[in-house]
Amino acid sequence: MKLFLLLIPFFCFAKTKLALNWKPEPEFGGFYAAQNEGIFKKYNLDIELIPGGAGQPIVQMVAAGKVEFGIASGDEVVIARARGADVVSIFAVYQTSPMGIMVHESTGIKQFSDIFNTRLTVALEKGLPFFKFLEKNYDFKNIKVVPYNGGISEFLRDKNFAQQVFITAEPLSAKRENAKPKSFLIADSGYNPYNVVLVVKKSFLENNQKLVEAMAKASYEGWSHYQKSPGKTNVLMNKLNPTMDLDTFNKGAKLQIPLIKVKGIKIGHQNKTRWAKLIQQLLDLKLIDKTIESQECFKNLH
Amino acid sequence: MVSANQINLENVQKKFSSDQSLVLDNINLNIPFGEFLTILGPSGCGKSTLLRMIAGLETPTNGQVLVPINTNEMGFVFQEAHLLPWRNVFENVVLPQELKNNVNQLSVDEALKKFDILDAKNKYPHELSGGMKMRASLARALVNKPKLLLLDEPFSALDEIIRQKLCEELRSLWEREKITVVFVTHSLQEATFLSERVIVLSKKPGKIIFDEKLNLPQIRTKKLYSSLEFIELTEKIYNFMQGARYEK
Amino acid sequence: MKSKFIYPILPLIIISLALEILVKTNFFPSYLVPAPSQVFKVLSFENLSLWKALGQTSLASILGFTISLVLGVLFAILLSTSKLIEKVFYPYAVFFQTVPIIAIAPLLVIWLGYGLPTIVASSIIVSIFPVIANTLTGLRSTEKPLLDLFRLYSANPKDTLLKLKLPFALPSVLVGARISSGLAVIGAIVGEFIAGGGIGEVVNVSRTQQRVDIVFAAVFLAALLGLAFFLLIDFISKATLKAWHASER
Repeated sequence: MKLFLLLIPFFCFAKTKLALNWKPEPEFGGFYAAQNEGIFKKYNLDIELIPGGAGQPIVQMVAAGKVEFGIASGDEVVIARARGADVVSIFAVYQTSPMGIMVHESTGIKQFSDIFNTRLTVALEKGLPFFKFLEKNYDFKNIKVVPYNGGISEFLRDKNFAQQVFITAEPLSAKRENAKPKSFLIADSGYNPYNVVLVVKKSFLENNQKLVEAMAKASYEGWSHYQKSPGKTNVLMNKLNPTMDLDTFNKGAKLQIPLIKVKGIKIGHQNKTRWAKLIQQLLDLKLIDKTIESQECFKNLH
Repeated sequence: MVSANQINLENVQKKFSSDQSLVLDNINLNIPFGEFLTILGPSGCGKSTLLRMIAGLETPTNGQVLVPINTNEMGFVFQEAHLLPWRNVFENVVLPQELKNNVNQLSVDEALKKFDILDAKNKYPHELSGGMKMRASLARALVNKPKLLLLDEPFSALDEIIRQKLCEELRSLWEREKITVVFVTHSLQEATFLSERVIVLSKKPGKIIFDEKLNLPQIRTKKLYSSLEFIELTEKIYNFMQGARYEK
Repeated sequence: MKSKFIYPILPLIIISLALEILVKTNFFPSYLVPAPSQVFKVLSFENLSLWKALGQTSLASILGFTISLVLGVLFAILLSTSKLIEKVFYPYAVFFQTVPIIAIAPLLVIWLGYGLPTIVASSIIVSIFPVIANTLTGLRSTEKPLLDLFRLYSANPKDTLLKLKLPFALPSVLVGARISSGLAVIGAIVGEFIAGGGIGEVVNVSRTQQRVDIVFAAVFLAALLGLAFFLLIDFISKATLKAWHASER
């Protein structure tokens, strides 16, 4: 009995976990701002931000209840739902997915489709849906696809090397290393899922309506703050992730502003049409084998 | 006076390189060619070291070891047969010739015959009994027709009956060929039965405390054990050894 | 012979059945653990590419393993020639055992490019140490009296190595080979994660696509490949050593 009483505080004060799918970078700036500026606290939230790494199955972790909140991409949410994992997106950071392809300026590539008419080695994550989308819509016979291993060292070494990037991150690093990169958004080719979406398990949402709502609102305030004044948050994130220098943090935060704030749409809001389009695209790509309800994928709570 | 037909050890001293402890001290020994000499002594007294020095496998720390015999003309038999397990009996016995590039199948068969193992020439060591393995090992030592045969407690791991049999065969081989044999053992019976001359080493550091020619018949069989002269002789050496053991 | 194979298969069947029931009754959600029947389906029909991947991984593993074996034995022979050489170079052999392959695999890509050379190199790095260590132990374990015997007959170093030390080391070499056969497969798959192709890429892609069934099927095939390797080496050891080595009797 005594032991039980002793254990109670641990349960009561257990933090709510938000699992990120990468190291602290500007794409998570709003969440760190909410932490740093006391916005979570204002909403009575005690959030632990857990940086992630390549290949972490965040959606599955959320579905299995290992963490309360997680960061994923829109297509991951659709695929997970089609496989029976009941996860819901409650906040979409990027209206335009920052996923892009970076090439060297010296290749003379002017537009997205030129990439496929140039003899290039392109590092892409073959498992990602956009890869299948590109494979379906472009002829790959000129390019050699190699695995994407993160980092830009091969890009810097080889003028005929191209790779997938978050246009708010790697191109900035490449410039710092005196390369002249040029980046193209994959969104412009027609595949544009919501990206960096905040997911939660549906049953958790239903049982903790208030907490999840507070999380959505705090995220909105955090991101609104970060969009305007990312400086202090960037200093904090730079301390947590010193591999990226502060200047790159600041430039990235500036670059991503238009991807996050689109005229007429409240930051973080999602709409049914876009989710439906994504579901259809994934069906066409055979990444899911049955359609799902677009309404079920998301919830605007702020 | 050092002559060309004897092995001569003069004031030989041996220290182990590891701890500099004295193993053998003040060894003076002449072994005329054709003699069957047995070295007796308690375990750890350095008798194996003495044998290895004669073979040239160890060098004395002080003193001189003169062996006017080429190492190729020596045969060496260890406590165990030490055959190469991936070679059959024939291939094991031919090894010394193979290493010298002068393989002579006939002489191999001859050596196999001497220890009655010709029938098993195609068998592998794991198919052989302990006695058979030792026979093969003896045949290997004899294949180069050595002038000097060195044996380091070769029969100690064998059972009584086979040991006796091999002792008789070894003795009769010596009677026929009169090659020089130096035989190390801790068995008094074996020593007396086999040899013409016995030396006894003291406890470490080994010194020669007994050196005597045995006055026993040339042809020796099991019956020798029950003869009075044999019993008296063993008794004498036994008493000597016992005295030495407690002497310190 | 029959029973020998039944024993290890029995638990597989029992676990599969239990898992099937647990998944089908939704005790385990299928997006976390695939139903064995689904994995089996993936293995049997769906994916020719999976079997093609197995072929690629097999090739890389066999190459990696063979090179490990040859280089490992040669390196161990070199180390065994003198205490000094061993002191100087053995730490580098240990390096192979401790090197985090995940960390240096991306460098391999930079040095050797995408494709087979990187994958084979990764396989070698992971699998060479057991060969070196065991061969060295074997070369050092030659029975002393036999070394004396070879000295007595003034055998040349080549004969001493080829007719005595190496055959004596063979059982140890094969122990090393058995360990390294499994590691060669792991090394190849890690290499494929980075350099593309084979089981490694299948795992990587299907993991991203949340296809746990394919991930499990690919892992299962990788395990089978490792097992096949192991059994092959085991068979070779038994066949070569049967005649003479006690441990194989």
